[in-house]
Amino acid sequence: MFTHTDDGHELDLFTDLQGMDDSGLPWGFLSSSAHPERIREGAWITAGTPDVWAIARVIDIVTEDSGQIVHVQPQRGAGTKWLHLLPPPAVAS
Amino acid sequence: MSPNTPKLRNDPLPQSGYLVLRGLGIREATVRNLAAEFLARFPGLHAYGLSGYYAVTTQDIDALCGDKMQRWEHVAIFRIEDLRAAGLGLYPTFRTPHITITHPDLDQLIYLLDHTDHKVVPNPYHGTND
Repeated sequence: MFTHTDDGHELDLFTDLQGMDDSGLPWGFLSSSAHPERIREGAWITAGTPDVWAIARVIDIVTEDSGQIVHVQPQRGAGTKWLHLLPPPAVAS
Repeated sequence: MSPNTPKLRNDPLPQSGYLVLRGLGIREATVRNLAAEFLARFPGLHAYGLSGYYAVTTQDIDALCGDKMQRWEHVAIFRIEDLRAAGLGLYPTFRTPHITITHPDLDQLIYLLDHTDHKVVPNPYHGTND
């Protein structure tokens, strides 16, 4: 399981940003996420591989025989440009 | 095709042309995981798979570099006929110009991509949206 990007950011969804499925969008397995609790429709997450990643919006989560598939729409440009879209870190009470 | 196989387009791949893949700087472990996730998602194809895009002309390659491949600092360019001759499967999957490159053996998939003649070139559009 890949948990961080090469530049030290937490990686929420391992996915091929070059890839697609029937939806035309990059996809990944929810089960391979180190932070599945962050992945819900409409959420902004980090997605990609450790070396090439982006800030992406979760479009939907569909259940197939192979598992739960997360579709994302990445923002154009470097992930660091869009970090402000991510939710603030949870603070333990 | 059953749901556990990737959707194939009706338009066949061109006999000649290019396949454009992410280039330098991606770790083998990452490629292996991507290929394995493809098989886990689409077991009906009985092969490991990676995503790429085909191009007919050098202008097509340039367009891919500025759009779908813009995130990658380098791109690797193969000739489609060389990949076929090497024994790799090439499927026109999902939306044009997406291709899935396959082999039933993961080690062979990695080896054949490494050893099939190709060139790695800097992506002139990398970073232009940063």
